[in-house]
Amino acid sequence: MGNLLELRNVTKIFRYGLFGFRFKAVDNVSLALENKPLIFTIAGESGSGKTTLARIILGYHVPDSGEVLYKGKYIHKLQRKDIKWFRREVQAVFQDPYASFNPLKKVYSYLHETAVNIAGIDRREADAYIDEILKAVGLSLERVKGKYPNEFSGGELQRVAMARALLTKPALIVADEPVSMLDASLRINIVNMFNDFRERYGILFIYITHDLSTAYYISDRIAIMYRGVVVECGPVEKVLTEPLHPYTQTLIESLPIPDPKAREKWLKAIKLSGVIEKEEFIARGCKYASRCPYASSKCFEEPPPDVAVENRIVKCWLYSEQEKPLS
Amino acid sequence: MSGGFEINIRDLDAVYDVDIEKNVYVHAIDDVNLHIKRGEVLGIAGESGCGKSTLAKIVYGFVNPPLRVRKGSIIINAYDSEYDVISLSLEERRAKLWWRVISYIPQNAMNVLNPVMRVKDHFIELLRHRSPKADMEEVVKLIESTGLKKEVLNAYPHQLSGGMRQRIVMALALIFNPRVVIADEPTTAVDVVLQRGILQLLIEFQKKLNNTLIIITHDAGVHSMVADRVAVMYAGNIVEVSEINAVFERPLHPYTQGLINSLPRIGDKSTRVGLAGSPPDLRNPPAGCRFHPRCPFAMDICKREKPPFIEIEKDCFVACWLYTKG
Repeated sequence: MGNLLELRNVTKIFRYGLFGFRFKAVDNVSLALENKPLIFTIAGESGSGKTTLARIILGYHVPDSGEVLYKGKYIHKLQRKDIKWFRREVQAVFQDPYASFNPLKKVYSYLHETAVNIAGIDRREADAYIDEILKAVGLSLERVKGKYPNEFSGGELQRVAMARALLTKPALIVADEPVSMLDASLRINIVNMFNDFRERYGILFIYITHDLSTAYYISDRIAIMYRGVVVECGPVEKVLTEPLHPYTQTLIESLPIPDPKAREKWLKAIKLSGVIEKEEFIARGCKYASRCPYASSKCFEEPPPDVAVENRIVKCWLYSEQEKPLS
Repeated sequence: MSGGFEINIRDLDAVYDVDIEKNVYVHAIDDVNLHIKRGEVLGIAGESGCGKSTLAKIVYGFVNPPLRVRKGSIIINAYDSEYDVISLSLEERRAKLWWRVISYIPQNAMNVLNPVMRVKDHFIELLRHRSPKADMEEVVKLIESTGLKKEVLNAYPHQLSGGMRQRIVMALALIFNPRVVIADEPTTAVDVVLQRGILQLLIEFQKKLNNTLIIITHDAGVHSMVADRVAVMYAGNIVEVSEINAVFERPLHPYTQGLINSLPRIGDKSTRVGLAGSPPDLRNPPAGCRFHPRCPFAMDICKREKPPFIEIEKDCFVACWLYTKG
C-alpha cells in the first residue's frame, strides 16, 4: 500500500537578516505516513521547526532540497488542475482563529466560498451542506450566518475553522497548534473533536503542538523535533513514557505534572545551560550535543544516524553501536 | 486586624472603563477577599480574561486608566509598617513600596530590558536611585547565583538568549530583597526545560529570603509543582482558595472540578471532558453566581444570588451555594 504522505530528506534554509547567518529550520527530515486514519503529532519547542515543516507539507514553503509526495505526486511541482485537487485533499487549521479570518468579512463567506469553489458543491445545495458540517462541530448555520469573526468566542471560531476544513472532505488535515490559544476547559473539547472526526470521516491528522500531554491524549504516533531535526519518532505510548533520546528524556522529566505528589522529583535542581540557540542551529554534529549529558567527541563532529530501536527511530549515537543503522 | 498577614485584600472591586458617559465597563474584579501569608508560595489560577493579571496589577499598585478601583482595600504589612496600596500616591509607591516591599516580574520578562543599555547599567540605574552606594559586588553575587556568568553584565540584551534575559529580570526584581514577589506568567514563553530551571530558581530564592511569592499562571501543572496554596479565579471572582493537595485531590467548586478533570496526563489515555460553554462577557456578567450558565449543578438560587465566600475547613474557602448548608 502506498503512503499518503511522504517526506524525503526535506531541508529548508532560512537566512537571518540580509547578510546574516543561514540556518536550517528543517534539516533533512524524512517521514512516511500510511493512508490510515490516525493522528500523527509533530511536537517540539518553539524554534524546533515544526511550523516550518507544516508549511512545507501544506505547500506554502518550497524546500531547498528534498521532496514531499502526497499520494505519489510531488506537491511542489503540481499542475494547475492538481493544485485544486491538492487543496481539496489537504486542509489546514491554524493556531489563532481570529488571525485566520478577515475581521471585515463575514465568517459565512469563507464557508460558502470553500464549499462552492473548492469542494465543488452546487450553489443551491451549499447551505444545506454547510449546515450539516457545522452541526458536526456543534454549531449550526443559523448561529454562524451574518456574523463577523469578533462575534464568536475563541472556541467557537476554532470550531468554524474546523468546519471549513472539513467542507472539502479532506484526507489529510494539518492542524498547527489548534488549541494553544484556547482555555484549558475548552481545549479538551476541541481535541476530542479531532478524535471523533478521525473515526467518523477517516481523516489523517497531523497535529502540531508543544503540549505533550494533549499529544499523548489523542495521538497514535509522534515525532519529536529539536532544532530542525526529528530526534525520535514512534508510537506515542512508547516515546512519551519510555523516551530514548536524551532530549526527549529531559523534555519529559521537565514537564510540570498536574499532580502535587510529583513535586519533589521535579524540584530536584537542574543546571541551566548558557548555550546560544544560534550556535546550535549551525552545529556540525548532533544539534543537542552541547546540552547532552552523554555527549562524546563524536557527537560534536558527525550528525548521528537514524537508528531503529524496536518500532521507533532515534537519531542518536548512543544507540548506533547496539543496533544496525537504517541507512 | 491584619496581624499575621503579609497582604490583606478586602472587598476589592475594579473595573476597566469602556465608555464613561454611557457607564459601560468591564467588571474585571468583583468582590475579591484574600489573605496572603508570610513566606508562602501562592498560585493564582484561572483562564485568560478571568482577572488574575488585573488582580496582580492592583496588588502591585499599578492602577492606570482605564483600570479603576471602585472600592476595597489592600494592606501590605512589611518591615513593621502598614502600607495601604490603593491610597498611596505614585511618588509614595515609588519611594516606599516598589522594589523594596513588593516587586513584579512581568509577563514576557525577557523583552522588558532596555535594548540600548548594557545589562550592568540596568542594575546601576536601579541601585543609584535606591541606595547611597552602588555595590556592584552584590550584583555579581546575585547574577552568579542565578547560574549566569558575570560577563553577561557587559552584554546588551539582544546578545543574550531569552532564558538568560529572563534570569536577569528576576535578579533585578530580587535585588532589594523584597518581601513580596509577584511573577505574572513567568514561564509562558519559554521551553519546558528552561521553565523548570526558572521556577526552581524562584523557589530557591523564596526559601532563602523567606518572602512571599505570588505566581500567576493558567498552567495547572506549574501550580502543582510550586505553589503552597492556590486561588482559583473565574470571571473576576475568586471561587476557591485551598491548600495545593486539597485542590487536586478534592476540588470543591464545580469550576475547579471541571478544570482539573479536563487535564490530560501522560500515561493516561482515558477520555476527558471539558466544560461546556465559554466564559461570560464581563461587560454584562450573569446575575448571581457568574459560573451558573456553565455549571452542571446550577440551582435556582445560583441564578439569583451571589454565593458567599465561606471557609469550609481551616484554610479552605469556596464560593458556591452547594456548600452553604453543610
